[in-house]
Amino acid sequence: MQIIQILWERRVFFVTCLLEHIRISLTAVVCAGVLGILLGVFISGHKKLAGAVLGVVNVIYTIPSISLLGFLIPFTGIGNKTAIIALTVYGLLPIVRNTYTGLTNVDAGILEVAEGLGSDGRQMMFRIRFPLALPVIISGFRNMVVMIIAMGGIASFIGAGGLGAAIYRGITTYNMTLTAAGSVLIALLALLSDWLLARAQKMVNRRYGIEQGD
Amino acid sequence: MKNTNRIKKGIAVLALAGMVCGLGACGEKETIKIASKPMTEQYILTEMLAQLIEDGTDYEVEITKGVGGGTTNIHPALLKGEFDLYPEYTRSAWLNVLKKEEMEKDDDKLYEELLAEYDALGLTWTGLYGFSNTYGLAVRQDTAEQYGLSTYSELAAASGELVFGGNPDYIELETGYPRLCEAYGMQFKDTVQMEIALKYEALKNEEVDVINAFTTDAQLAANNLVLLADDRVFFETYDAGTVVRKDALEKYPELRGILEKMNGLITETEMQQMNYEVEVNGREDKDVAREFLENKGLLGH
Amino acid sequence: MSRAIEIRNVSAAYGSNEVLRRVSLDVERGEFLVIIGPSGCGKTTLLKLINGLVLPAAGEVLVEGERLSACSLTDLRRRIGYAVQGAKLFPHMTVQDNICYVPCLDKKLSKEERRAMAERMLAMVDLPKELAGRFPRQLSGGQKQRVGIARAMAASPDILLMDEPFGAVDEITRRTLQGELSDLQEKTGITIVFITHDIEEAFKLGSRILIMKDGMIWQEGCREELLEKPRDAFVKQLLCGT
Repeated sequence: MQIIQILWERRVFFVTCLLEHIRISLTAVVCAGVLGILLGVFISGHKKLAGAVLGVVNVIYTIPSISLLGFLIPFTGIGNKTAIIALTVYGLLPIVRNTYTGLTNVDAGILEVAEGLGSDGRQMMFRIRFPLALPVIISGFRNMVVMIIAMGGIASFIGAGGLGAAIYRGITTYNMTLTAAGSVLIALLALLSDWLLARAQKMVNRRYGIEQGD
Repeated sequence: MKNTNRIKKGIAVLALAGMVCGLGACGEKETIKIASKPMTEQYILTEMLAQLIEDGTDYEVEITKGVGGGTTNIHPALLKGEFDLYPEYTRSAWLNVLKKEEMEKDDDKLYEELLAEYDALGLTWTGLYGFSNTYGLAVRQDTAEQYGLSTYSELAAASGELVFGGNPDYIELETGYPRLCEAYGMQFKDTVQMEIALKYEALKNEEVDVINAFTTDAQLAANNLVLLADDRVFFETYDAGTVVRKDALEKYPELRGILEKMNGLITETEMQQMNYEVEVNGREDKDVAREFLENKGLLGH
Repeated sequence: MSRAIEIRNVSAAYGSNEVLRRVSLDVERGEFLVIIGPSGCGKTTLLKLINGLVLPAAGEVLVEGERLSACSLTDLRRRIGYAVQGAKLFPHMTVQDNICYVPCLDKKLSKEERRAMAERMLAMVDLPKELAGRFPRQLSGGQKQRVGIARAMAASPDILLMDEPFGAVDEITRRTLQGELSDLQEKTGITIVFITHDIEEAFKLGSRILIMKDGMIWQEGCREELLEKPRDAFVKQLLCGT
């Protein structure tokens, strides 16, 4: 197939793009993950703010990625930095929402017992709430990672690196095979990540195996 | 308990790695940074620049190929110092950067004023490559035959039944599409905006009937299109050259000499041929660039 | 020596709903107090006053002489065992970790220490030590309940609060658990406050029985006292198990 041929012929190019795509995605994933969880934890403790925060994140999510990139350019320039910022912003929603939902949907009966047994605030959060919210949080994580990897393709349009460069290069040189090859690699990367996270998710679920209404 | 500890440690390591890599991606090295617009011609030109620099000096070079939005995004970045140089077309700069409303018809006067105004911005042009890439209008072979088209004036007469497709830069600028329509009395049935690269597909698929093309486009020959003649010699030429930051020239003293090697180096036919090699024959831009430079005896002394 | 628990004139409410009305109660050390009453009478709220899960709107609660309003609830709770209906074990922790939960709250125990403690507590509630590594979802209802009790007792508390702990368990297991709890109480002299809706259970276990109605203590006394002199038809009905 032509795609395999071009992948081989320009393997140096593709490997460079792939590594950079991974680097950009990973940075965004980590930033969105950390920020998202912190934000989610915060609003789970301040429920009045939850509506506002979730509302804002929701709205940002609906902005087309090209618009957000275009909006950021005058402030943060073109290239990887802007891409990472945009991807992080998009990655926030699934994490914040799932962290919040996970933390606030822990069985109230279990929380009451934990409190009654003498857990202080930190222990409640780190030993009980957060571990029990983990399955939901990981599910959000999975969504976020796949989304960021796929979205990362657009970043190249503003001069960032990554597999989108192959796609965009293909478009601008009328080389559809190049575009297809780039797309295939992004898809494979997304699938692989999803698969890995699914395994992790299964492991966590198996351990926690929470039965509803216990 | 032990498993969660291991998982926690794993996450911490991953997080650290992620942050290090991420920061590394934003890290600065002493490299000459070149930008290119998202078009084949620019990929080739920037490859040439890079190869000349790497071959003739010890400097490191980094090309960002295909910055979406072209001049609109490259120029601010250039001013900020995110790039050191890029290939630009004289009248594009005139319109998009200096935002002049009137077109200067005299080529020499234009270049002079360009240099003067760019100097105030901290930028300069090291010379022109020797070819022009001008806006032309292209139609399909069958359209040309059906309406008997070979000039802009003839197109104007038939314009009521045709759809025009153009890239945003061209359509939005007063001096582009609007000026064309006014000068020739064109009144197209409909006007569609699309990215540079999508125009030829749209033309081929008969989604549009006329597009603005660049005279060095490889796709013209590849798709058997007809380039109409600007019979009133209305549109000026867009000469290509290198725009570079003045402080980059100071920082890298050997740079000017290298950049000037590109002056008067390429003819329009040669550029079109190179475009053709990449787009139609599927060769890599860096190979085509290298071959050209070697043939001119500019590499590997 | 101060009483185990003193509740002085406490009123408590959930929102605008008054759940307890000026309730006073003294519990001596070593007592096995059983609270019984129809649903909504406030018995669970009364229990939760003792470990501060519910705060009084008026009145004072003292545990071992200390005023709850003036001490650290977290520290206090670690000295009080708490077991609820359905056990509510932590699903993400093994049986061992569930049992060792309270002791591990304020000190770090080695793996060996935890294993030993779990073994000891499992033996106390008559469960095989092999269960230590299992997860709650792998246990039967009766086993879960027993682990819940083990968890409540692990830190050797002086007071044990139990809210219908045998409610979700079958008849046979319940009888066995009741017997074990009685023995435990005799052996350790621990003060127990126990909620049930089953009068037979109350008679079997309690040294003193508290009957509640509409947020008040309707009548209290030992089994004989209540049977001899029931306050009204309501109490009579309750005592007959209808």
